[in-house]
Amino acid sequence: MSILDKKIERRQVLKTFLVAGPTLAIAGRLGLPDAAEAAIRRTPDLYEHQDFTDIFMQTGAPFYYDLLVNILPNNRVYFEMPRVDVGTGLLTATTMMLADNLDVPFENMDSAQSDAEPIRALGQLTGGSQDVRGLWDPVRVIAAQIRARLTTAASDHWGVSPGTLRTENGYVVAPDGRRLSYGELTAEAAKLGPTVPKSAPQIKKPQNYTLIGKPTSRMNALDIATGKAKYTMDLPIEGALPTVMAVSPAAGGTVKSVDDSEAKKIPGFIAATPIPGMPEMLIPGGVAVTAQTFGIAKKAKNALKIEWNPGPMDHISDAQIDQMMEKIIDKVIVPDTGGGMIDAVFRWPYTNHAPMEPNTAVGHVTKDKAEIWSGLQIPNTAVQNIAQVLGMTQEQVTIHIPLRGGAFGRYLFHDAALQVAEISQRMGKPIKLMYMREEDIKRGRNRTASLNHIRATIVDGQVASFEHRMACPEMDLRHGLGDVITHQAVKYDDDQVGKYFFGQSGSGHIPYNVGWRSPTLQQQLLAIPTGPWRVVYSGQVCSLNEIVMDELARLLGKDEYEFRRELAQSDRHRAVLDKAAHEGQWGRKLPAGVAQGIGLHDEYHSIAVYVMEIDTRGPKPRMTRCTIACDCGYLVNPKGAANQLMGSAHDGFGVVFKAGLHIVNGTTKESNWYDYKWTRMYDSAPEMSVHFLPNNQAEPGGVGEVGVPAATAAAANAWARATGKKPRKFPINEYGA
Amino acid sequence: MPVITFNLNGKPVSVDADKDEGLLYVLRDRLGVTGPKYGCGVGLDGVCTSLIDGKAVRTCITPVGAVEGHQVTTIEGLAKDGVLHPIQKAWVDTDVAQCGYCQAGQIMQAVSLLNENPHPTDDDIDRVMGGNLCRCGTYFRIRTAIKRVAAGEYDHFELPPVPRTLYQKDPKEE
Repeated sequence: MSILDKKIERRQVLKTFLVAGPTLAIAGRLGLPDAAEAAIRRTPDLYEHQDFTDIFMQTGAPFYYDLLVNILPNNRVYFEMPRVDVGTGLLTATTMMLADNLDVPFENMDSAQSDAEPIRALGQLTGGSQDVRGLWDPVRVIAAQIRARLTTAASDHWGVSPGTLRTENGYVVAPDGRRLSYGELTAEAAKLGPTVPKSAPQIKKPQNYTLIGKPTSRMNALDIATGKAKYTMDLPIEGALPTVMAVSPAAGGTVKSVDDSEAKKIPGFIAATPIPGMPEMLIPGGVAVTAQTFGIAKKAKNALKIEWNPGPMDHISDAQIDQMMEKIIDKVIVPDTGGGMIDAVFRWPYTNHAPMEPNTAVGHVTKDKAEIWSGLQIPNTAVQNIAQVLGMTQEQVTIHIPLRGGAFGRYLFHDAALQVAEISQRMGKPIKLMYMREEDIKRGRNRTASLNHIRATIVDGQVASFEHRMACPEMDLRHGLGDVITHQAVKYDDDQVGKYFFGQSGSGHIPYNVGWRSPTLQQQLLAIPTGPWRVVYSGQVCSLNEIVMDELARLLGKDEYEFRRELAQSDRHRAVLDKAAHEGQWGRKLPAGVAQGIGLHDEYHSIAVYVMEIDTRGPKPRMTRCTIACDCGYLVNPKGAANQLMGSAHDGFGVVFKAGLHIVNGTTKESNWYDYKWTRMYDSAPEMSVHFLPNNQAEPGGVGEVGVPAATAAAANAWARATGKKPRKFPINEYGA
Repeated sequence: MPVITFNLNGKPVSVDADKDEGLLYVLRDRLGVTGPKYGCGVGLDGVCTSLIDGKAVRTCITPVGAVEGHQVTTIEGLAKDGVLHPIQKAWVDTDVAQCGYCQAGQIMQAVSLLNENPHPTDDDIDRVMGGNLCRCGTYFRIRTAIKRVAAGEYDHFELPPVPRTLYQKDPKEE
């Protein structure tokens, strides 16, 4: 009897477990295979029943329903989204959801982003691909309540039964055709106050949606195309002075002395102001350089002579970090019993988020209040920390949330917002702070480097075990995301929070029947700032699992797509695989040196599969074609979702082939785009397509991150199939196999 | 400091600035023209791209003294008399932008490309647009939009009405 047989037998015993008692007995057990699935071969996984987005929604839920929707007398609707749109299309998606559920024309909406509102606590957090899903029910419920109140007001006005009235296009309509606009009814409806409206709130039925599901361009696309869209640095804040930061070359270094005599000779230079930052949050101090323009500030920054106290990482370089990871990584334990195995070690480098808009914030701190503008993903943690460094109460700190030019997780933290508060307080003037690209890359909060040991063994021609051991410098989750887990009720332990997140977010999940599944994580704290980077641990862990899936298939002499299909844990996974393979013409004939690669990822209640073609015949590998299939649950905006999935293809290509940082004596070697390379037009596929599976879910899944691991794997797998080499150390353009 | 005069989006302007100061900083910090963005300061990502006499330049590394007497067009000056350039319509209809921060530069680079080469091939697009970085990965739609404009799809095209995005929230001001 093999190990596998034993496992199945034990499950069958559990399956017959009976619950007896005086009340309703539950005879089924969650997560156990039914008879048809009895041959299933995988260990159980809590993630399959409750993932991190569910936890988000549970901890944030009381506040998710606190949405500001104001029906204005001019029949327009003012909506404040308590989130930030960093390029994800979130503002467009939520505005579509609200307009449709309110029965209001899309163009009648006026949407803005809420200020930081500490009362919302964990309910004001953008990230984790849970935003559309998290606001789905709140928007629908609140829209129904608003329509009920407007209908009640109209019924009072006309003296007719509310049940006979309907809403459409921003009007309440009577059976005889009389109409009153929402704008005309808003004052009367407001007078109803908290009383129960006569008309029962009715959530709009999905079959009646006219806007949700319709491909819709980003709502401020025209503003962007005409230069009217305003980012933090574009806001007309009276008197705000251009300021850049000089920071220690080495992580954790502090200012010893500043000589600004040369800078003072530059016309337009205003001041060099040392600030402490917030070392316990790894927000660097340094010297803020203020001038009439950013051009002058940059020149003056370069003219400063700053002596730095050494940082705690000064003797640490990539080699030492690698040794540290080798020391802490868990061992793989399953031996090869003769059936064969894949045993592989992979390395990822530190990777900067590098959004096109660098760190920016505007701040005006006076004696009794602080007003900050910055496109933060978790603004309420920023309020706490800024109040602390300024010596103010949280009530004295206001943070406005402008649109942001990309984040990818970087703006979960609030470095520039905290620094601008310190600078403005010291200078007594409004300040607009923007990092120059050099500091933005050197002072990033990187995706961690990681060492990964994967072993998958085969018994009797079937995958019997799949171990993934990850070791990395500790991921910093102290921006507030970790509080979702501890819920401020237990002592915060960043390493344990990271491990919980690893297990519960999908990173520790292998969506195939591969026997004993055992992903583990070990971390050690280093002074190099880190943070979640689009899709967090999964971008490294799950992408590598998918590379091993390809190698297992080839070891067993199977087609890489067919092999996944065979072992996929559900029909939902198989349908996405089939869609991508069909649309991507899997197996089509390509010249030598060009190959297709496939990758699957399951997270955020969505499943994505990429079929990417990589041409390795030129001087550098190039993506020549990319086909994406996705089951993302209830699809709100096909255009916005497709954009996110296409974007992920470029992230996957970037981390596989081009991007990687080097740490030398505690200093990030890279400083601008010439040495921190990213995917460009000439790397991007001239042929791309996105295909959504027919909706079979009641709620939307996340689409902002799910594509990244699948695309990463597809890129690496295509390269491996084109070259016959094994990807082991990234980026490939630097390290080869 | 010398007074430097040039034409900005159809109007003459004079600025008092060091002639070596980057045009980007003069536009943004002295003239309040915020369409062109800062991205790298060394001409490597094209986020600041604007036109001088119809040709794309990186304004962050163009000294303001060099544009004395020339025509400078930023994204704000692309639409003439309220009539959108076909590429702007294509950008909206193709839903090119995500975060949007690099898109003013992408659009101005694409206008320059089409000014010189009305029917660019994929290779032309790779070469000319290769200097404009986009972290959201909007390249496929940039490519698509350029091809659609080249095919004349947006010569007579009306965009649908859209909601308003308020960049500084204050319902009272509306």
